Formats: sequence, structure tokens, C-alpha cells
Amino acid sequence: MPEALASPSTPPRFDYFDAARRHYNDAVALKAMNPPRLANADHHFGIAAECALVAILKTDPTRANLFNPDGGLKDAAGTESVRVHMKQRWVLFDKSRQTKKVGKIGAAFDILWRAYRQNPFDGWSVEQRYLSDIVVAAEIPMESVEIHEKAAKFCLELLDKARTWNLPKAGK
Amino acid sequence: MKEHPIRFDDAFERSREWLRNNASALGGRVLLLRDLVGRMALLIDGPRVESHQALSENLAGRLGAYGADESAIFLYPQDFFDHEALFKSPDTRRLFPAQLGDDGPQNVWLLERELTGLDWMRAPLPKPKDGPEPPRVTFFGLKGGVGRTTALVLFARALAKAGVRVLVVDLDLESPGLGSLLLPDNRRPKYGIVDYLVEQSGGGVDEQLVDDIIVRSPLVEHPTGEIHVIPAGGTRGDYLAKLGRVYQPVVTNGSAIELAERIDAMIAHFASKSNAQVVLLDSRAGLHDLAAFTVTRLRAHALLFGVGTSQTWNGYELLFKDWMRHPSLDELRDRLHMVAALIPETGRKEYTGRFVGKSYDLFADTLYEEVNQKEPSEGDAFNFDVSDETAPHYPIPIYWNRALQEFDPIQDPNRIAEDQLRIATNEFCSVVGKLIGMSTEPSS
Repeated sequence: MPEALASPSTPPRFDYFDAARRHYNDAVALKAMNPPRLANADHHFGIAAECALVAILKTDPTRANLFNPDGGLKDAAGTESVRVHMKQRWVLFDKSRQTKKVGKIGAAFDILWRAYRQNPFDGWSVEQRYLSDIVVAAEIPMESVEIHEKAAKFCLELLDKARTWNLPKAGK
Repeated sequence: MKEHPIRFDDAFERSREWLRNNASALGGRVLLLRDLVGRMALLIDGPRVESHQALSENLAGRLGAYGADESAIFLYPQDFFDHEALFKSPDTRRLFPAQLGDDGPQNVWLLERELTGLDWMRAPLPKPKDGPEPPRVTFFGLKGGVGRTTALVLFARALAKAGVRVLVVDLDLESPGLGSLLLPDNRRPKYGIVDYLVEQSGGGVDEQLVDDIIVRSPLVEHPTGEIHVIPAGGTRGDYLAKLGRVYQPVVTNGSAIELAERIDAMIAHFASKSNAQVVLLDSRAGLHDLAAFTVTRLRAHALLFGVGTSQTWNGYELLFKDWMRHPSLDELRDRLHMVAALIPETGRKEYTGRFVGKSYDLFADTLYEEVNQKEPSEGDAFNFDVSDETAPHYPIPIYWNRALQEFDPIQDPNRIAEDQLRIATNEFCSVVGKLIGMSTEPSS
């Protein structure tokens, strides 16, 4: 069951849709500041996209085995790990799409793949949050932040669509 | 007695009735979402309030397996990143169309999630901004084998003989054959429509490719009139390998361009290239996606071929009943024209009379508006008399004739029986010509 749809009386601890939207909105706010806080905006756009992709995965009932009862992704133990950050995650989803392993959500990843034949997060890394100011200024220009912003928004919009394709079944 | 489970259709009717009675209690616009398997939930454009709990339980109880989980059968703006995009989706339409005289709440909308067939219910694509375009005519039939393609070729021939420049497009991609009726083997082009579509997402479309697709048919030699053809496929390559890939939307600048838009632009490209005055589209038969947009979205007059059997009427009834809820119904029904194909050689009058009656009943029950008999207001209602020959239901006739069956003008030109063909299709050509403001009288 998509986590944000749960009754307010039993909120799941982990909610990738909430997280995606929160990171996205914070990133937009940071980017709009004067002067813009580009490095952290960029970091949040990457995490937002990552959370949105996991949330899409969660709309597929056949992938329930990847999640814990608290709504969070299982640890790397198991046949397949999705606990990787944006750059690798994109590759993973592309593989899933090609091997038809994503079941009903294949359509969502088809759209993603067609829109982005190349990973828009090439060059993005979660490790960039530890960079020095000087390196940040050089490595995270507005141009690449805007590419990441657009891609994160695309993933969130795709999540909205994916949720209306597979509404949660009663009793699940 | 064991109770039957709630079926797909029942569940939808139940959700409509429930919303008819309860939408006003929900506190805002409502979007009924029906997912890929038919499961339903409501997106309520307002705050979640206490009273919703009982209402959601009540709705879930009525929809059975076709209701989303009780905890998610009511959704709210905060459950989505951009809920407004769902309300504004091109596939969103009113659940209670006022156009059908439905007085249900007008703030309730429906968004259907289907993998195929959506184009039947979509609005025509916008007209190009750069000036007028040549009129388009789609030749469609629910079943194959009713002489649709032959009629198209004869109409193209009549127009060209009258001095008109015609572009013929074979959109029957899964059953291509128009090309061979208009082109000898040695004139068949290297490429066809499937190549154009595949190259859009691959190597790109250039003028060389366009030149390698469009061919002038030798069928008519006339000082000004001519027929250009864009066949489904050319002589090169593996047709199936290309056909299987044409349905993919192409992504440009981050947005997906779907097949209907791509074919619309392709037709405009070739029409401009051949300086065409009219474009004739051979549609795939049946309720297929390719036929859907060829009939509804390409701004074409739609000729609906049928024969006088219950298969014809039942099939069109399925389609027309859905069209009653079409968001662009006014625009759509203005462009529909029934064609009585293969009218038999004997008992023509009786056959045609029965056809007119059945066709009228079909239109009157679905797409025609009811007229207020007490206070008829002139010109308002979309309604016609049964014997009105200009009405959409009134069939444009094609008379069965052996000459039609044997018509193969390129491969077997000596067998063309002009007199017989004229008897069979003269009226058809003349009436369809008038629809698009063109004469089909031969000129020199």
C-alpha cells in the first residue's frame, strides 16, 4: 500500500512520497534564496528523485518483499539491493525495466527511460555533501542544479501517475 | 443462494450513483480515479474532515473488489505532488455530462487509467498555427472486407481526374495493402510510414527519407490532378521489426510526443511536400488504437463503413454509447458520415430503406440530441429527420458490383470496367466530394 495513503491513525515510519516532496520543496527554497544555496539544493534534488523512484517501486504490489513493515526499504541482504543512491539506483531501475522485473510499474519506468536515455544524475553524488566550499562552487553550477531539479520534478509527477495506475487493493 | 461478486460494470454504476447522492457532502471538486484493473478511489479537492470516515467506509462497502483499500479510497491534495495535474489531465472528463442532460453534480470528474484505447475519447489535436490545412477524410470500418480501401482508391482517382492533388496515407499499418493498389512493384518506394516513425526516435527524419517514402501514383495522368501515396512500408528492411516499435512515444525536450501527434505532424509534412489539396486516410479496421486517433483526433471527416447486418449496428452502438460522454462530442459528431458499403444488386430499395432505418435508430439513441417537441428551438439541437440526406446517419451508398471486386488498376488495368465502376461509386464520390467542397467531375 502506498504509504501516504494510510489512515492517519497508523502513520508508517518511513514514507518515501512524503520524503520526496519534502526534499524537493526544501531544494526549491534553497535554490530561490539570495544568493542561492546551490550545493544543498542540489543534494536535496537528488534525494528527492531517489525517494520518488522508491515510492514508485512501492506502488507495485509484487515488490512488497523489498519493504519492511515500517514502510522502509529492507537492508542490502537479499537477492537485490535497492539501498543505493541516485546514480546507481537509476541504473538499477533501467535494468529492471529491461528485464520486465518491475511488473505493473514497468510502464512508469518505460516513461522514465524514454525521457532520460542518459542518467540526468551522472555527476551527482551523495558524497558531495561533504565537499569544501571551494570545490562545491566549482563542481555544482546552477546549470547542473537545474537539470537535477527538472529530473526530480519529473520523478515526482511520474509517482503521481503511477499511484493512479495501481490503487491499493482492499485488505492489503 | 450464493451472492454474485460485484462486476466491473456494476461497480462503476454504483460509484456513479454514490457520487450523485454524496458528492455535495465531500466539500469540493471530486475526481473519480479508475486504475488499470478498474479499481476506484476518489480524489477530493478539500480537507479531510471527520464525516469522511463514515462516507469512505460506506463507499468501500459498495464497490467490493473494485474499491481501493478503505484507508485509501478517499485521497486528498496532500496525497499527491501535483493533484491539479490529475484534474487537468487530457483524459479527465465529467462523470455526469450535462451535454447528455445529466443533472448529476457538475463538480465531479472521471479519470480513467487504461493502457490502450484512450484516443477514442480524446479531443481532436489542435489545428496547426501556420495557415489552413487541406481537408482530410478518414475511411474507417469496424470490420474489414467491406470495400473500404477500394472506395478510397476510387475516390482518389475521381478527385485526381477532376484536377485535384490528392495525398493518400496508408494508416492500416497492421494490414498494409493500399500501396499495391496504387503503385506498380517497380515504383514502390524504399521506405514507408513505419520508417518515418521509427527514425523519429532513432536516426532522425531528413528530406532524403521523406523523398524515399512519398511516390506519385501512375494511376491518373492529368495536367493538374495527381495522387501521391505514402505507403505503410517500403521495399527495404524488416517490416515487423519496425512495426513493433512505432507505438513508442518520442521524447523531445523532456516531454513525450504520442503517436497521434507524430502522425498528425507527419501527414502535415507530406501534405506540404506534395502540395496536396486533400488528404485521404486509410484507417485500420476495428476498435484499435491506430483507428481511434485516425477517426477522432486528426481533424478528418470520418466515413464509417458498414453493411446492413446486426454486427455493424451492434459494433457501432458500442462505440457511440461511449462517445455520448466524449468531451468534444459537438466537434466529433459533425464530422461523422455513415457509408452503406456493398449494397447488393437485387432488392436495393428495400435494403437501403432498412439501412437508413437502422442507422437512424443508432444515431437517435446515442449521438443525436432530443428535441423538445413542445418548444422546438431552431438550429440548437443536433438532430435530423430520418429522411434528411445530409444527416450523419443517412448512408452514402456504394453499390456492390463485380467490377469493384476485381478492381486492381495497377496490376490488372485491362479489367477496369469504367461504366460499371461509375454506377457503383459515382454517387459516393460526388457526395464525399461535396463534404470537402470538391468536385469529382472529370476535367481536362
